[in-house]
Amino acid sequence: MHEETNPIEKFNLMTKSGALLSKTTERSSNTSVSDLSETSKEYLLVELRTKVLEVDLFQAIEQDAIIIFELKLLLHKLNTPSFGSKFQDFSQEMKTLMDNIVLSFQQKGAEQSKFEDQKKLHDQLTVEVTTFQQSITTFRQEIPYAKQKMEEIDSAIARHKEEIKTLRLQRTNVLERECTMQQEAKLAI
Amino acid sequence: MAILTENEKALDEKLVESKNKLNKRRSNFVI
Repeated sequence: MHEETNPIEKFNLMTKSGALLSKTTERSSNTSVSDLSETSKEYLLVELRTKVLEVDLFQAIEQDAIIIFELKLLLHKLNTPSFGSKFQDFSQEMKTLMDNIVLSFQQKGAEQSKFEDQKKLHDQLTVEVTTFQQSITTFRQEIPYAKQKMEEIDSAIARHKEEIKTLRLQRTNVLERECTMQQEAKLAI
Repeated sequence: MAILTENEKALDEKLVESKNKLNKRRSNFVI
C-alpha cells in the first residue's frame, strides 16, 4: 500500500475531527429532498446505481476514503419518504455499515501506529542488548590478560620492596660506620 | 508488514465481515 493512497491515514486524518461519522446531515445543505424535481430524483438514482450499486464499494472506500462524504450525502438524500421505505431502509443500513468500516479502519490505523512504536522500541533494545553482549565477550576475553598483568605487577612490587629493604639496611650500615669513625677520630685527638 | 498483532487480526476479520455485509446489502438492492 503506497503512503499517498493509504486509506488508514486518510481515515485517521478525517476521523480525528469526527468528520466522516457525523457531518453528513450538516452537509446536506438547505435542499429539501421532498422539493426535488423528478429529474433530480432520476439523477440521484443514476448516482446510486453508478456510485453504490455497480461498484465494489469497499474497495472504492479503501482506495479513496474521501468518497465517504459524497456517498453519505447521496444516501442521506435518498433517505426520504418520497423515495419510499425501501430506499430509506437501504440508506440507513448502508450508512451504518460504512460507519463501521470507517471505525475499523481508524482502529486499525491506531493499532498499526502502536505496533510500529513497539517495533521501534524492540529494535532499539535489540541494538542495546547486542552492544552489551559484545562488551561482555570483550571483557571475558580480556580477563586472563588482566590476571596475568596483575600477577606481574604484584611480583614487581614484591621485588621493589625487597630492594628497598636492602637499601635501607645498607643506609643503616653506612650511618653506623660513619658514627663509629667519628668517635674513633675524637678519641685519637 | 508480515507480523500482525492479535488486535490487528481481529480488526481485519471485522473489516472482512463489514465488507461482506456491505457487498451483500448492495447486491441485494434493486431499484
